[in-house]
Amino acid sequence: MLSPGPSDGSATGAARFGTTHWSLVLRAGRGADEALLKLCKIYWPPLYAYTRRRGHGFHEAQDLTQGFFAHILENRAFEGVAPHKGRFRSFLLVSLKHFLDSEWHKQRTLKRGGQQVFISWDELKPEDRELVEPSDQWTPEKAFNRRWALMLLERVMEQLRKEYAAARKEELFEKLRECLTGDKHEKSYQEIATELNMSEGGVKVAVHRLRRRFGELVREQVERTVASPEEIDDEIRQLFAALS
Amino acid sequence: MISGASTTQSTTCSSCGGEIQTDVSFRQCPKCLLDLGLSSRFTDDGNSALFDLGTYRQSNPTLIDYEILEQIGRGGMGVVYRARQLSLNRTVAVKMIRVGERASPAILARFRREAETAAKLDHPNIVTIYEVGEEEMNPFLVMRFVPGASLAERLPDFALMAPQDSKQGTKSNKTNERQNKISRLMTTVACAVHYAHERGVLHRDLKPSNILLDQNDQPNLTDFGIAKVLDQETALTQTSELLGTPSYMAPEQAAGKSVSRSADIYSLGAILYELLTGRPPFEGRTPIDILRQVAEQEPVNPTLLNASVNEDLATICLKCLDKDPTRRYGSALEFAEDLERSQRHEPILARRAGPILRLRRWTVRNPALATLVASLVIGMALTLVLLAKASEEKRRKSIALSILRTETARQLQEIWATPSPFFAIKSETLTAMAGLEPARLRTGEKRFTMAFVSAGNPLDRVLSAAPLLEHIENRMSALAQTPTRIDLRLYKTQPHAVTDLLAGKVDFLQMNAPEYLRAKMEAPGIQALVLLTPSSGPGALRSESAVFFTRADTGIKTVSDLRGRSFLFGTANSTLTFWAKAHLVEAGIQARDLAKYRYIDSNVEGPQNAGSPANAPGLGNPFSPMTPVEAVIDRVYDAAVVTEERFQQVAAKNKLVLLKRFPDTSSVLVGQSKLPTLATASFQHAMTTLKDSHILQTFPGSPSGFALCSDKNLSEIRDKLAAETLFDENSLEHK
Repeated sequence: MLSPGPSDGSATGAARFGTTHWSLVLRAGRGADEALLKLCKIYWPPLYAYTRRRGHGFHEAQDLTQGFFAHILENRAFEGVAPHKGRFRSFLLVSLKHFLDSEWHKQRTLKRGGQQVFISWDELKPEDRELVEPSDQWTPEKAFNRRWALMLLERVMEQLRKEYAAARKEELFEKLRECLTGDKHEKSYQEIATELNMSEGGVKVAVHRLRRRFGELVREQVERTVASPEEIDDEIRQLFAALS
Repeated sequence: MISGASTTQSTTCSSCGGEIQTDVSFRQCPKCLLDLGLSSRFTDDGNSALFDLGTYRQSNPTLIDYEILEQIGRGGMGVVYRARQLSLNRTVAVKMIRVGERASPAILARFRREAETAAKLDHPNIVTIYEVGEEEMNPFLVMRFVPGASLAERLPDFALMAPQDSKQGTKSNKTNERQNKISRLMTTVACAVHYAHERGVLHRDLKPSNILLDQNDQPNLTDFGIAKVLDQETALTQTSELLGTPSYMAPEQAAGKSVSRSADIYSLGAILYELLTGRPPFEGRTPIDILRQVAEQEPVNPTLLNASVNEDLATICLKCLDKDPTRRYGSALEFAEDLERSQRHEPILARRAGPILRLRRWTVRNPALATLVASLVIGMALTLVLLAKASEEKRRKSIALSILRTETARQLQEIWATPSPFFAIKSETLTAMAGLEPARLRTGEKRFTMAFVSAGNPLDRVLSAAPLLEHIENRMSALAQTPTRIDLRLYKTQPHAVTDLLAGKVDFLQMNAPEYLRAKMEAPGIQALVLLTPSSGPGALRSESAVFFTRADTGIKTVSDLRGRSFLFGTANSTLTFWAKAHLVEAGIQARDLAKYRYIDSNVEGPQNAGSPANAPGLGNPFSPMTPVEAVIDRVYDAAVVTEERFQQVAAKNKLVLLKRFPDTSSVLVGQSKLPTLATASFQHAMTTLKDSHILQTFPGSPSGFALCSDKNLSEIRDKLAAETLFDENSLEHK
C-alpha cells in the first residue's frame, strides 16, 4: 500500500473533528514543522505525478517534489491560508504550479530541499515506485487529480483494514474486500461463506456493512480536505471525473 | 528505468464496465469505490442516515451526573439501574451495556449511531432515550424510568390462557373481554412501532421483555434498534444467555439476512400469538430447536391450541407469521387497523391460506434459506457445546453435540455436491464433532488453516484429521505460548489446494516433493517444513519403491537398452511417472530415444504415435482393467514402470524382469510464504514430536514419523526434476 502515512484518524467520533487536513495546514502555517512533514508524507504522490507530467525526468521530479516541500517549509507558504479559501486539493495544486513556474527559471540554482529529506525514495518498493508513475496520455492536472483520488482510496482501504484488524476481523476483511465493488467476484458469497464458516446471508450482511463503512470513511477523508461538509459530494464527483 | 505507461494489462470492472488501470494498487475499480462515498449518505435499511455532524457531542456525557439507586433488571444486553440525575433531579433508568471484549471501535460507533437515532424518537409509547454515553469503552443509555414490569413478567395478566380464565363462570364474556384487551394492547404497540418505522428506525428485537407496562397498563417499548447491534458480529463470543430466544425472531432475521420492517411485524405477530395461546409460536428445549422450527415449520393455528381464540385474531396473527416477508402486513399500521376491525367486528383484510399451500409455498420459495439456517444452527450448536458447564448442562450439551454433528455432516454433503473446491471447518467444530473435549474460546488466539485432500469419504477424512489437528494445536500452543487453532479445509483435488497455498489462503499442506519444487518456482516463499519418514514396517518399503520392468523375451537387460523400444508410464502427473522420467534421463534415455511412450491415463501417444486403439486396448481409459503389467505381458509395450509391490505380485508367474528399482517417496508438509517464524518453528516441533501411530496412519503411506526438512534435503529431487524437465522438452523438440 502506498504511503498510508501516520495514522491520523480512527473510526471513533472524536477524530472526525480532530484533524482536518486544513487544520494541519493551519498548524503548518503557524510553524509546526511536524504538521508539515505529515502533510508531505501523505500528499507527495499526486504532487510527484503532476511534476512528472510537466515533463520532468524521474530524478528531477523527485528533487522538485522534495524542493516543493522545502520551499513551503522555508517560506511559510501556508501562512495566511484559511479553510474558507476552498479545497485543499486545489490549494496544493496551485501552490505547486507557482513553485514549478518559479523553479523552472531558477534551473537548479539552489540545492533543492536542503538537508531535509521528506520522502525516502529508496525505501519504496519498486512496484510502488512504478505505481505512482503517471501515464503519458494524461495532462499534468489529470495526473495530479487521479493520483489524489487513488491515494484517498488507498488511505480509506488501509483505515478500514485497521478497523477490522482492531476488531480481530482481518480475515473477514481480506476475504470480503474484493466484494467492495462489482457484483461478479472471483468467489461467490456462498464460497466465501464456506471459507469463513458463515451463512451466505451473513456474508451479504457483512459485505453490506463493509461497503457502507467504506463509503463513510471516503466521506470522512474527503471532508478533511474541503471547507464545509456541503462540499463533500461535489468533491467526490470531481475526483470521480479525474478517474474517468 | 521506469517507463511512463505501464505495460501490464488492465482489467475491466464487473460492475460499471470501466477500465481498472494498472496504477491502482488495490486492483479494484476506483470509481465504484468512490461511488460508495456518495451512496453511503443513504442506507437501504434507512435507519442510519448520514452521521449528523451537528448532533455529535464533543464532550461525552459521563456517569458523574447520575446517582445509581438500585438494580432493576438484568438482561442479555447488560444491567439496568434506577438512578437519579442530579442536575435535573429526576429519576431515570441507566442501562449499562455489556460489550464483549472484541467489540471494535466500529461496532461501538455503530451502536452509538443507532442509539442516537433511537433517541430522536419521541412517542408516548416508546421509552425516551435521554442520553448516550460511554464509560471506559462500555456504552450506557440514560432513559425515561418506567415504573412497572415488562410484558414478559406480566403475561398472566394479559394472556388468554391465563389459569384464572378457565375457571370463570361467564367464560365467554371474560374471554371476549380479554381478547379485546390483548387487541388494544397490540394495537398500541403496533402504532408505536409504525411511528418508529416511519422515521426509519427498526426495532429488530421485539419481544415481551422489551415491552414495559406502566401503572396504567400502557405499553412502553424499549431498546429500539440497539439490541441487535452488539450481538450480530460477536455472537460466538457471547454467553448463551445473550444468544437469547429466537422465538420472536423472523426467519429471515434468524438466517442473518438483512431485515426490513416486516421482520418487526413478524415479531408483533409472535407476541400476539403468545398472548392468545400462552406460548410463543415455536418452543423448544434449546434455541437451536426453536430456530429449526422457525425456519422449517408452520406455526400451529392458535385456534387449535385454544378453541376460544377469535378466528379473526388467529388469522391476523398467522398473517404476521408468514415465512415470506412479502406476505405479511405491509406496515405495522395495517396490522393495527386489522386488529381494530376485529374489535369492531368488521371484516378483516387478512385471509387464511390453506395449510398445504402454505407449506409448499415456503419450501418452493425459500430453497436457500433452510441451508442458511443450517449454518447458523451449526454456529449456535457449537456455542452451546463450548459453553455447557460440566455437570448441570450435560444433557443440553449432548443434544447440542448431536445437532452439531448431523448439521455439519449435512452441510459437508451439500457443499460436496456443489462445484465449491473445498469444505472448511473450524477447529472448535471439528474437535467437538470428533468427540474430543473442545477448548473454550480464548482471546488472542492464533489461527492457521491446514489443507487436506479428500480420498474416499470426505466426512471420514474430516473426522480422522481431528486427532492430528488437536496434537498440532497443543504443541504449537505450548511452544508459542499463544493459544493456537488449526482450522481444516478439505479439498476435492490437490491442484486446488496447491493454488490456495500459493495464494496464502492455506497455511499448511502436504505435497509430494516434485510438486513442491515446481510450486516453489512459482512462489519462492513457500517452504517445506517437515519430511515424511518412510515407514519401516513389513511390506512398507515395497510400496514406497518403484521398478522398471520388461518381459523376459525382449532382450532388454538394462535401462539403457530401452533406447528404440516402447515404454508405458503411470498416470501423467504422478510421482511415479516423475521418477520414471528422471531415471530414464539419468540412463541417457530421453523422449526422442523411445520408439513410443504413453501415459496410462492419456490417449496421447509418444512421439511416433504408433499405437492405435486396436493394439492398445482400453489404455486410454483410467478405469480400464488393462494395467502396465498387462500391457507389457500382452506385448503392447516393451517396458513399463509400476510400484514394486505390484511387480512382486505378478513377476514370477509372468516371467517379468526387473530392470531397475528406485524409491518413490518424499512427501513434505509445506508452509505458505507469509507464516511467522514462530509459527513455522512450532509447527515443525509439533510434527517432529508426533509419535502416535494412530495419527501417523492417517497420512498416505503410513509414515513412521516426520523429520525436519529444508530445501537442501530436496536437492537430489531438484536434480531429478531438472532431468525430468529435460525429458519433456526434448519430446517437444522432437515433435
